Amino acid sequence: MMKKSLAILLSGTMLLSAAFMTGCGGGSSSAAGSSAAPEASAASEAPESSAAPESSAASEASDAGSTAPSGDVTVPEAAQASYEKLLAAEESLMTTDNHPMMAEGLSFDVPAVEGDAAALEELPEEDKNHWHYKEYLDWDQSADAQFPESPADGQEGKKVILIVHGAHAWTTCYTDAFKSACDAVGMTYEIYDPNWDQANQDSYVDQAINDQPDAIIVIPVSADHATQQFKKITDAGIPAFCSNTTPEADAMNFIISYTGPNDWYQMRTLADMLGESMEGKGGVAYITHNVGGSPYYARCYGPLTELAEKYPDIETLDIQSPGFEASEVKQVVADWITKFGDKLNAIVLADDSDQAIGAVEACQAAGRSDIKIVAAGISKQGLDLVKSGDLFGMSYQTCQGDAGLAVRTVSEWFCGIDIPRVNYLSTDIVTKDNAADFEPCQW
Amino acid sequence: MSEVKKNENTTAPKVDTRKTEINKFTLLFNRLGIWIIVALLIVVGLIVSGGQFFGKSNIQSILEAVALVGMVCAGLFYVTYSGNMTDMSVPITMAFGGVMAVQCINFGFVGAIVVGLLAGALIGVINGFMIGKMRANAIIWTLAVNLLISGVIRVVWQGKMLYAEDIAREDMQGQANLFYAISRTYIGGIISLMAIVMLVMFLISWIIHTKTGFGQKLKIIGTNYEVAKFSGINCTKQLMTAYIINGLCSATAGIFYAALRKCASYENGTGYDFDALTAILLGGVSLNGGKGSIAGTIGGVLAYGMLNNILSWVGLGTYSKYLVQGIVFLFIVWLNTYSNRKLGRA
Amino acid sequence: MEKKNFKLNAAFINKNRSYLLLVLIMICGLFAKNFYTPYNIQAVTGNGSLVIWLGLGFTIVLIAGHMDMTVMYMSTFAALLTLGLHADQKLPWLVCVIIGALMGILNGLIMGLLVTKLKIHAFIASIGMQLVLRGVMYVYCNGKELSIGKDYTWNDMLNGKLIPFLPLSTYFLITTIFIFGVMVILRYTRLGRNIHMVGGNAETAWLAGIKSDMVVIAAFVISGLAAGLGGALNGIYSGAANVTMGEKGISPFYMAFTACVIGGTDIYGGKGSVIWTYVSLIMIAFLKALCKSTELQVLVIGAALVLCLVYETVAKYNRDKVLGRRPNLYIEYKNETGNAK
Repeated sequence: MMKKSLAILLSGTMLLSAAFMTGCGGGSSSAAGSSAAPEASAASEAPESSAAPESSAASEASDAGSTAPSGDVTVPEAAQASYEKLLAAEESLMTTDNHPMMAEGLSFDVPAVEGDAAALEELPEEDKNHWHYKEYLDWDQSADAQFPESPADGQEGKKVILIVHGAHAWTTCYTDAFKSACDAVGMTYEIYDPNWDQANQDSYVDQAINDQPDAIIVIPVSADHATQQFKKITDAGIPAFCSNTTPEADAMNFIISYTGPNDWYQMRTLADMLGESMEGKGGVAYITHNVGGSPYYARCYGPLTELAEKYPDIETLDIQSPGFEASEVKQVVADWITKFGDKLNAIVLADDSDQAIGAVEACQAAGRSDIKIVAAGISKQGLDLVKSGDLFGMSYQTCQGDAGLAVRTVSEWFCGIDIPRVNYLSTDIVTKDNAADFEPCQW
Repeated sequence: MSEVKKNENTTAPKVDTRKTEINKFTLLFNRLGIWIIVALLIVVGLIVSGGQFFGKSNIQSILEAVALVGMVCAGLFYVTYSGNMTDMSVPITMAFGGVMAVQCINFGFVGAIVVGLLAGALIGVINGFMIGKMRANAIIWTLAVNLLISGVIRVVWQGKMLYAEDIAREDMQGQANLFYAISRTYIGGIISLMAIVMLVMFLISWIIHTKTGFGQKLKIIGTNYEVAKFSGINCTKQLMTAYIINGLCSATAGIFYAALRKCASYENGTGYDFDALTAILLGGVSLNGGKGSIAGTIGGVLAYGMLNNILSWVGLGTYSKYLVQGIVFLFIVWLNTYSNRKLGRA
Repeated sequence: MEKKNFKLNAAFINKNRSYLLLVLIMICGLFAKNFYTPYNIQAVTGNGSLVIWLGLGFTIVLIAGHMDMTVMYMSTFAALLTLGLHADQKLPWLVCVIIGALMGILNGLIMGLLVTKLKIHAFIASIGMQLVLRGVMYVYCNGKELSIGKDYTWNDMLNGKLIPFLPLSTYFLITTIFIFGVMVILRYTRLGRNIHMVGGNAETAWLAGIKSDMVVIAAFVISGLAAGLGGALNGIYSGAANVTMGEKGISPFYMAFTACVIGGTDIYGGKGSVIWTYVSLIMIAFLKALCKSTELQVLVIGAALVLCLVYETVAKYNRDKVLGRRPNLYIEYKNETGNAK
């Protein structure tokens, strides 16, 4: 009996330790492996790149501080080779739907508001200014933390750590694009995936700091936690970049640069289009993103405030947050159709895959093809629905372009170029007419 | 029912000064159970909705909303009934069934469904062996299975989402579309295939429960495992069967879910364990086993769907719904426990 | 008996499995890069603290023979309350934390009353309370995230080191002190022994004159206090809290539960120790730092849990097979395995 139990326990321990060994082997060798692979590819792509760091170091020693002009931006000489590589990558890399992947970011003006955050909170929810601090990264620049200096010797051979928010088809697409962009500009990378768990992301941030990389890029799971995370990174003397989801405005004090889509602007454009097609009257219902995140506010209150301002006759019927399950959304929409009947003319969704499927199906089941549905994002399921006419329109948020812009911004910072603190992606609205421009879909 | 009554007579105390007459309400509630609540909800629904509660689209909406939970309940009933509380591996059984079906879409539509069901049955066999044969604690073991299989799926598929049309070969695209269509078909344009499947599964489940020896044996096992064992019932076999039925039902729900969502991943089915258990407990099935019926379970499933529906008629947000659902759930469960205790059937 | 004739047999390994696993992980850590840096140790133990609080609560209730699935929601609610009170009412941190802890106690009390007075099965009651707490949390904060704002005093204090040369954060030290306090209560006071007794056999305990209802309520209240205090401190430690905490990814509740089982707390109640859970949770925290991909973490933790369960179940199965039928075989079996469970 004892032998049997011992054998089971022993084999268990062996299996466990084997798993651990692969675990820590994976941990340490993935760093080595991931750094080795791109180096090899970089070497095969551009033989001169391997020699670049030494030569640049030498030249830096001989005439430190001198800069050489290159095009319209000035780049320190040490970073010259790297910068050219970045430019080449910018030319060559394309997204799957044939848009440039590393296009330059846009910036939008921040309108002036009166009163502080607490005073604005008092305003009604239909007022644009109520959401001012959620919409614009309008932070107090005087409270900025002491940021680390750019090494100004180019991005080649630098190690960045990307902490995404969680496993999703979007994330896979983003990380793949991030990898190819990093390979193209010669950076090594490591990617952590906390699986949508806030506590997990916190511990990944700590581990990333522990690894002492040259830069850390985070896609925060939640806007408010972001402040603490970026504060930690900046306090440790590592440059912090934020990608995709907007953090709380105060978090910008600890972020060198934010890159990502302008959700609010896109949803407003979408709402404009919707309001116009509804001829300024009717009822709209909203299905939100996960409660509390930045897309929740942008994709619900963005269109809501826009419609309230421009089309005062359009009525807001209901706001629900059933999550991302097609069946749950279907039920909510079916309930709406029964409850509101003809008063329901349009639905605004925060997601164009699961939510869109649920909503479209509920409308089809009830025979209500007149209900106009708009959604945010660009997924395969969503584009199919737009093409078939079930979705009236959706916003175009290039996922690979998002990753490209993040890599571009980080590289430019390594090259010593002055970068804007906020970089937005270019925006577009997808309707049935121009759907062909966005095929094949990125994810 | 008859066995319970016999039991009652034999255990009556010899000298009893306590009140012997039974509260009418408790008896009524114990007999009709959840159907009283269902009737109550219908009345409330009619008032709240201004008479539209029995409209075609509302009935459709309720039935579709509960279809997936109902499918899970049809199988989970046997696990609870056999005294093993609940199966926490329902979410991963659903996910695993969906993932395997989508992954094997190249075997053709029927092949994919069969593989998906087999995947569910496999988890049922694992659970059945460990719980039926080795007598592991049901909740803990199924939670562990949930964690382990979820880890396996995550590692093997790298946390990706699987789309049937990406996996299907050129000549199999039609099969992929057929797979998607199962959650979107309306028989006669009125009632969805999902709801039909749910009702058929409940019907089969009812026949198994009332008309076969398996159902009778399971009742004894659920009431008292030791007694069942010493009266010569092959407990291992019965429990194994119960878990396999549960696995098959969960996998069916998982396949429909994957088809509805148009993709399969490890997170499909999250939350269905508690949803299904809530419906079953509403239906008056005792967590200690050996008590409950399929009719009650259907009532519980319907009440669960109707409560949600009524709350959206009232206009509550998603999270305020939780509050009301929780209180109503606690109240009904308390009523069940209370009436059982008053009748000495706890 | 164990001390007299020490034998490295299955029973010994099984009894000390949480310690042995921790040692195993620490040895594996030697091969990982950047594992034994002070920063890493401080961060890993600090981030693992919330789960320790939850595991503590879950273990106590488990020892008392019940199952409390609401600990996660209790702690989130306490965190929201603490942050919300500080932001809106401008109360000092200490008062906010105390109110958060009191809210935990109240939740524990409600759970205890539901279980003992209304005689609802703890598992069912906690499912209902989960729904209720989620609703209440949403009503309280309206779905918004709450954060500490710009007041970093307590945040820095909890994140910082209390003892200069020891790479452990203050938050973790508070957790450790609390754990040892509860251990003392459980092991050396009448209440602690009563909790064990009620969990082991409620009927015997009742016959022995223990007010079992009060004991069970006390267990739930301690669990609620742990969840509330831990949640409130965690809200300040991590800087923000939101309603959906722990609903995505691997829930901290799952971790707490796994640790209870790996630590060796008996599912049926009556046997267990918070120290076992504590050691197992530290082990899991380091394990998570060791395998960096989330997928692998889930798989390894799941495998560890399943192995422990299989071992325990097989041991119990074998014991049951000889128990009662052939007494001499059972005695032989007991002699062979030492003190088999």
